[in-house]
Amino acid sequence: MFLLIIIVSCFIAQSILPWWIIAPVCLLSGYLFSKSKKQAFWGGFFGIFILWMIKILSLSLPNEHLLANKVGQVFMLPDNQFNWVIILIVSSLIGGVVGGLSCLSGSHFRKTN
Amino acid sequence: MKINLSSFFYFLLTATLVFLLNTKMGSLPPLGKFLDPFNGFWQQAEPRLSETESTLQIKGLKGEVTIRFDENRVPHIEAENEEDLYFAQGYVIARDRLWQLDFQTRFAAGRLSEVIGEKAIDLDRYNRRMGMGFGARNMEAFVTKDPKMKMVLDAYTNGINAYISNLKPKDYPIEFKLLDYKPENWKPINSAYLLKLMSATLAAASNDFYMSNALNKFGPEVIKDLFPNYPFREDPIIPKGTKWDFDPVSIPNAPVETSLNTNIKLDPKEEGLGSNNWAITGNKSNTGFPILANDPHLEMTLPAIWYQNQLTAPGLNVYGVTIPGSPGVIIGFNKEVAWGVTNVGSDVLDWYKITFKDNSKNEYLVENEWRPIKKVVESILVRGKETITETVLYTHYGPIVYMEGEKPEGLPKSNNVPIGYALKWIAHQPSNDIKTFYELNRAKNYNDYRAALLHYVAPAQNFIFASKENDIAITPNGYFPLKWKGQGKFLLDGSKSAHEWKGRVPAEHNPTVKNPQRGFVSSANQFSADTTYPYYLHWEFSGYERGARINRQLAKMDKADVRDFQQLQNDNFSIHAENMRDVLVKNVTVSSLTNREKKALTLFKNWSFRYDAKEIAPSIFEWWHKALAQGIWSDEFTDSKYPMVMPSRDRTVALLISDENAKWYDDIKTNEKESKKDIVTKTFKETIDSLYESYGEIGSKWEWGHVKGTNIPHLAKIVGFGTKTLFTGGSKTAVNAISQTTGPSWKMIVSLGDKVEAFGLFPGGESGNPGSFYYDNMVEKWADGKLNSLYFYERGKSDTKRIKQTISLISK
Repeated sequence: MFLLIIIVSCFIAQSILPWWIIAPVCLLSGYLFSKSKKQAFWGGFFGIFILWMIKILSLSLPNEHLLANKVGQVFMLPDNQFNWVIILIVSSLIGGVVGGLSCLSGSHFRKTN
Repeated sequence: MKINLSSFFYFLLTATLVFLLNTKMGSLPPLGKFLDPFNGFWQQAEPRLSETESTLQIKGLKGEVTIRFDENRVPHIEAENEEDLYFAQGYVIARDRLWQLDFQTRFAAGRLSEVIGEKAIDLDRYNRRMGMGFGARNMEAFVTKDPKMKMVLDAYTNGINAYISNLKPKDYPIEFKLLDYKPENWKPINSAYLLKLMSATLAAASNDFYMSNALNKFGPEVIKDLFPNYPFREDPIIPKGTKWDFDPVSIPNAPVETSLNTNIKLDPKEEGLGSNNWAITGNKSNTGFPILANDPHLEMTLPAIWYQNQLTAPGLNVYGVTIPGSPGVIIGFNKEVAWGVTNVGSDVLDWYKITFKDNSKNEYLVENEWRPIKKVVESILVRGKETITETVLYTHYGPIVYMEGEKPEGLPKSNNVPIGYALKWIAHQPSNDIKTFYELNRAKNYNDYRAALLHYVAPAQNFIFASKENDIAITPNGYFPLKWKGQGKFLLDGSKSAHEWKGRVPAEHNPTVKNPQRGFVSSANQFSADTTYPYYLHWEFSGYERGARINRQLAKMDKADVRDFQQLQNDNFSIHAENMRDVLVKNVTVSSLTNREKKALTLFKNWSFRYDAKEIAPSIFEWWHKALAQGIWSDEFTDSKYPMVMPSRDRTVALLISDENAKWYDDIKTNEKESKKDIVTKTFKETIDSLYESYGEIGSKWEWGHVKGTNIPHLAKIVGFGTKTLFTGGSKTAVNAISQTTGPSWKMIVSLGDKVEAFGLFPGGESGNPGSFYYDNMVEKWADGKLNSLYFYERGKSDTKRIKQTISLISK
């Protein structure tokens, strides 16, 4: 449930606002809805990780990963047709860590737990 | 709410992380912002083109515009009036090439430091000090006095800005996201900047200092011998024997003393870029109508230099390429005529020694008069640093590019700038060049072509022309300063009024030829005309070899068709190699060779003079003749204090063919006296050694396609956004003048007639987005020497199967 709240609320917020909106949204969700610190972190982490990964695949699959493979080279990876996997994972991880940490911060403001 | 140390700590940790991921660090983009799929680079991952129709509402249109995209994503823009047409052209170019528009304008205007920081400061200073802004402002002021051209520029500007104003940050091209900055609104002066950039690329070569140094060292006799004002071999653009149909105006007399002492450090000038165009009359073609070809060569980059489009409005239907930022079509065709350009290497840039009255540098001398210096302040904004403010001194000639202590160390571009000299340059001249293209786009016949050329100033081009009425013509055209013979070959003295440019060669007197006897016209950057032409344009042009090859092949053609033209565009035959092979082989002392060297020499001896990708001989020849030229000249012409330019390829060939015992063969750094045979053999052995060190034993790695290593980099050299290495043939002395990073930036063949048929492509794609399938989709075909059939749309007449997408623009 907590995971779903993160995914849905961040999806809506990100559709209109810059990327960093995930931090206050997750922070607030963590404060309001998390049941434990562990749940807060992993809920935030996987919420954003999954959201970003799905969004990325929806863009990159029809592009046949043309751009992601080139961006791999921009980040010093060798010219390789699987660069996109690395860029996909790094992107989702960065989103996930921000989401997780934000939820965890939110949960630290809770009086219980 | 509970606020304690741990909640505070986690909050701060999160906030810091978000801040860092939102900040650009060094060359890294802000990672969170960049990798975010909702607004970051993933948004530029475009799907393949799907067949769709759509309608967009846009503010600023008068009527309806239809844009049809063909299978190569070339837009065919149809508007109800001209204003809407140029508006839509601006809109579409912004949609496809927004970052390129921004970056190239910033480059020309000296504003790169604003976005890439202090590493661009020297470059920005250089472009500002060369007077790029001075020239662009002069041009804008002049063009906008012409109401029609003002309408065109304004409509085009509004179109670009209409696109920009609808953009959300997620839509910004990927380079904006990588470099973390925003597009800004377009201004009409930006179009002027882009045209000035063409002058900077094509009309800014200058050997004046090297020549002055060489003159000081060797004296006028040697200079006359080694740097003649007309080459040993030539095949000029205007055929020899063409009568000049005008009475020349009086030409200024050369002053007695024209050289100055210099002490400037310089690097050798690079060989020109190489462009070709030609046309045949109906008598030589299989259709009975003219066929015209053009392939302008440039330093190739991605996004592509050119943009293909078709523009249709009442009274106008033209197809061709333009430079993003320049309205209309620069090279192209309509139903009646076709035209193209190659560069004219005329001398339109000179340096004047300035004599100041005193250290305040407020006045300078011209004859007996002290004239005021104008001081112009340039402010360079630098990302993350303080703004740099500096003063540039302007004379009536132009800016003094660098004073003592102002010239940067690490900027090769600036090496050819003499310190304390004012720059007189055609790019500063007020001009209305876009009017030439505006009128050519609408031209119906030869007279329209001639009238259109009169507006053109710079960079001077060989305008080739063919019409359905079976006229062909070529005109080396632009503003040619009226000079004494050899004026500006060396540095000039700004205190002497005799050294000034004395106006221009009347535009009607520019060399031209219509329907010559031989049935064809052509150009390949060589001399515009032979020595009977009364005006002086320059002492040195690109080598004659490509031009001569084109003329040789055209002379043989009968009932020629598009395929013959295509073959000639792809022709790797080098007349330079033909001139040199046997004389080189004859002068190698075979007894001194190793087995490997003997094998290489046999390969070379049997070479057919073609720079084909799979040949090994061109790799040997290319390295050898460079080493040989160095070997002959560099001992005499190297001086760390007074650098010079080496004699031309033409002069070197003349020496090797006709001079057995010239003193230049001797290496003055050794005690022995070297002969021609010694130096030819020595450099051959060195060449084979170097090739062996780089590519191992003689084998497939020695093939020219590998050794040359052609590739097309990204405009900002972003790794991954350029092409891989392309296996191509070609040489600067062959018609197919592909070098490592220069080559035919657009290839076009137009067959005129009742129905115009055209073929063409450029090394790139229509889109400027590295995430699009149309970013570099034509590169492979280009490397294979193939062409696309160009879709010329006519309402109600054309097969609409090739239209893949239609966008209607309607007023909001």
